[in-house]
Amino acid sequence: MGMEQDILKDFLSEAKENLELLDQQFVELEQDPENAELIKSIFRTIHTIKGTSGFFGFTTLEAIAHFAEDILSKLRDGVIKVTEDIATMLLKAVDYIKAIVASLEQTGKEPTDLVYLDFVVDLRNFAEKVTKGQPATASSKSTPPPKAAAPAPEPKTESQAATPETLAPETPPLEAQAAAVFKPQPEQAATHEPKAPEPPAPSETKQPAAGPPPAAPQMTETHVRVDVQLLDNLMNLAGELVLSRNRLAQLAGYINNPELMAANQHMSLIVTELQEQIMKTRMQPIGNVFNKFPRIVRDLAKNAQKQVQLHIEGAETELDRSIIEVIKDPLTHMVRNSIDHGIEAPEIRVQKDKDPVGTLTMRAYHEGGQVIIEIEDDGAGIDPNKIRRKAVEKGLLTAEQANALSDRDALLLIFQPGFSTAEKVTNISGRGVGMDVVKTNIEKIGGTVELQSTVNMGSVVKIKIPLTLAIIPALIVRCAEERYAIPQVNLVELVHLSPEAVSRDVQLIGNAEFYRLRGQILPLVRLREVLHLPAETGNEESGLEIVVLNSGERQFGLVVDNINDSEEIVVKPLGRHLKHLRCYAGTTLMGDGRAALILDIVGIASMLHLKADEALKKAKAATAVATGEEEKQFLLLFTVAPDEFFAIPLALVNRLDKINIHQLEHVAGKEVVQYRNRSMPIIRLENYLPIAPLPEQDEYNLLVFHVNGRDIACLVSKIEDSINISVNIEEENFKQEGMIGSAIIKDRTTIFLDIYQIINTYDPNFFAKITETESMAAQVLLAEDSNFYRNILTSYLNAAGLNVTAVEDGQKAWDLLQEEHFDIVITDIEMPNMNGLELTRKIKENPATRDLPVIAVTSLSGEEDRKRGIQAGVDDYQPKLDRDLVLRAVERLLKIRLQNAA
Amino acid sequence: MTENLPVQSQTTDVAVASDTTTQFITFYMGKHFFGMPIDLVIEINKNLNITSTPLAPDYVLGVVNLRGHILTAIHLARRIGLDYTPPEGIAFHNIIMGNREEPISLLVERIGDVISVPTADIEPPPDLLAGIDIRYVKNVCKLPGKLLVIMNTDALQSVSNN
Repeated sequence: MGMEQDILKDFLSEAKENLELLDQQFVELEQDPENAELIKSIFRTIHTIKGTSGFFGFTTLEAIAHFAEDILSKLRDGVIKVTEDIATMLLKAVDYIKAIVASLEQTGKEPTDLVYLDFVVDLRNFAEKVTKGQPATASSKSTPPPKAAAPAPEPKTESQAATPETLAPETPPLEAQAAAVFKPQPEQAATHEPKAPEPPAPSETKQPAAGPPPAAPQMTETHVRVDVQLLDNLMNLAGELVLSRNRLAQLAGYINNPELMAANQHMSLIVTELQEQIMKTRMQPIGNVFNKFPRIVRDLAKNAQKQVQLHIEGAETELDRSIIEVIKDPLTHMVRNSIDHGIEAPEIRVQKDKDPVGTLTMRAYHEGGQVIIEIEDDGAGIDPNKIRRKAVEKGLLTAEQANALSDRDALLLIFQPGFSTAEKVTNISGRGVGMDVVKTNIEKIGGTVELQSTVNMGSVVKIKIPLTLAIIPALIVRCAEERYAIPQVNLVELVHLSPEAVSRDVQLIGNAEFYRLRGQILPLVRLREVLHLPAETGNEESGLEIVVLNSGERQFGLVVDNINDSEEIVVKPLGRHLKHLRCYAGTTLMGDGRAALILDIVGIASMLHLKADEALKKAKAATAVATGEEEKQFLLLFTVAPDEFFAIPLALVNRLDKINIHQLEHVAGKEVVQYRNRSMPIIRLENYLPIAPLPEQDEYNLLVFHVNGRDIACLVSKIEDSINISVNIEEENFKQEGMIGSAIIKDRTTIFLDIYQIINTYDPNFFAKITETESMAAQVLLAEDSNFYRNILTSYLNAAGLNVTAVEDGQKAWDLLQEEHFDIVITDIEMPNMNGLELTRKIKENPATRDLPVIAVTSLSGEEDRKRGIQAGVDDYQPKLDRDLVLRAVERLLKIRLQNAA
Repeated sequence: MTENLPVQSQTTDVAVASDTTTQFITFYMGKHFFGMPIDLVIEINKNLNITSTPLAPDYVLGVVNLRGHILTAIHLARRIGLDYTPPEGIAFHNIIMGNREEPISLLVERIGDVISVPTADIEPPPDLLAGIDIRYVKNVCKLPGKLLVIMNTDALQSVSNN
């Protein structure tokens, strides 16, 4: 009943407002009878009142609204025109409606006074005449035709007769009303008759005097509608007041006058209180949304032929107005899902030994400064296997990937676009839009969605959202003397790089910088460059401050001057002169009262995207030519002599640099260059490969490789490009020392270099041999389907003194393991026939091979893969192109194996 | 009752109001002397800290905090194409002006007096005014010894394409 009371309260406050408006609109209408918009607006207002009163069973109110609506509909359709009579009658109707509303507010019941019924009859007669297109005088028919406008309200009134209480016993259903009113025709006619011949105005002015009950109760105002703008202004001012108070407190501290201190302290309390209260004005109970669900659930359940009982908990939980708007649709989606896919049909529930009536609970509560909303059902739950199957069917995952997923991860799949587990598409759900939209919407406001489900027990969707959008947590950074706020939602981690780390791990490719963060290539973006500010001077010695950010699809590192603190900031919009700037999301105020800009991380990412557009386009064109089953990789393209193109995986290159011809030195038959205060050996590729020699240039490009703690560089003529593509390398034509093979990239035959082999040829002692500590070379079994990676891995493992046997998939590796002895297995994860995870499981399950160490290697982008690998039992996990990391892992594992054997 | 009709518009142009005089706030940018009707000015404020906004149009010097409202600070000289660069590091005066929904802060070098000008003396601007983009000039008024340039406040506030 509580909810009904709430709705009634809403209805009344809305009705009161509308009625005030009506008065005004009627007056306007009299002045401007042709104003169709005005008529429509009045019609809508009356129509709403009619509808709502019908819902509550206020029959008199409904009847008055109904007949008024009749007249208005004719006006609206242009059948009749507004006359003074009509306006007067309608205004009178408004007066009656007001009186009834006032009475409802005070007593919760319609007034029982007979004058209301009299008026209903009057109005009805009038309406009929008007609608017949006769002049609006009550002249002609005083005896109404019995079946005039009754049919419409009839069924409603009957159904309402069943709901007691609200219906005053004295207010009979309309039909009866009409009858009752019509029977005492004599008296009625008596009051009517005089009206007829006379000009209607006087008699009608008489009527209202008698009309509204003698002592019409006053309408009391408990709610005021306030412009949100006004509230925002108040909040701004309160914020400023806090700042002023802080300054004052500081001053009071200096002056140190006890009275001043006391006064200041008192004010301080009031200001705090004031701010809290103003914040509250923006808050609304979530019940405002929840209240709509009983009806939605009922309809949905009926459509789906299920029985569902809805429980609502914590409807009083408050959150920011703007958030309430945003969560409405996601909640509806989820409730639909629960009813459509979750809760079973009654007969199935009975079979499962459950109550045939399903339970759906919507729950809201505060937790740790957030609002948690849960939608729980006791339905069938979500079967992870069903999801796996579906994912494979839809081609989202391969069968192996799907099987490797944990149940929990499988459940997360339903948040993927285009995913629906409903067996059939109904008009409620199952079209595969929904959960992904829910997730996006919730994440847009900085919230998260979680899903827990137990088969046959039910599911819980848990949404966490911030209390308010107006205040968000943010990281404050500094750049060129100004502070900028970065929303915490985009923040992944903070990295401080020492100058040594900068030189070691930051690679310069053309103009772009990349940082190798745990094997992943992270593009670096300097905020100063983004904002076209002058480059920082003299700060290089202190290293780099990198804020690792996530802009949805991609991660990148934003280089800033300084990183300050995290703060809760109030988000304010940008002025119109600045709105077009994509790099800012808004402005905010800092504690010292200065404004600061909020960075729009997605905007910045898209700005960079534009910059990289050209390169991307090229890469795309290249991909179109060079599509193969290979994984995508970053390649560096360069030339030694013009028109002879070479490629090398970018991940192998540590740095690109330029040197002047005069910097080259010849020492003891070797070419070196001074680089970071050390002599770095230089390799001329033409000395090791059958290629055209490097022409004499003023300036050369250096590809610097950092292996084994040492730098070594290749001298090349020109860096052509760096692209991210998948290539299929052909080994036939160019398989020889120092080359892996060739591929067509950007319409040109490009040779892939085996840089480890080249370095090894240049100086066989360059690489420390792992086997130096052991008596014999360790036997490595390498399983890798991509011949490109297989060659690179083989090459650097060989160069490190290991004996490598390479096979193309897990099945071959397993077969070989049965026949030969190996000390260690290095395996790719994605492979045909048997993937790396299966291979690992097999090795770890078989007593004969259980102790064999397994290293899984993968391309650069796989935190997911990593988890899966560890679940499958691999001993170590490394990015395949990071030679040093892989070799270190091999060395470590071999040592352990040796110790165990001893 | 007819007077209450909503269709009637009661806004009248301040500059051509039938009163005999109009009041202007006056201000300077270098030697140039400007004015704007006093009722379009919300307040005048000195020493608001300006936070710079990189990538913004060059006439936007930054944003300022006016009691919790963040306003865009417009550099008058750059906005109207004045060939004058104020001395480095001076503290501008902020004329907070324009519509109440989103006022702007107009940065000027010096504030002058509030003056009353006979409405009859207010003239349309000449076709050319040395060094000023004529779009931003609404009227001029010849005063003893100098010319008062009356700003077109709408143009100052609007987002121009160039």
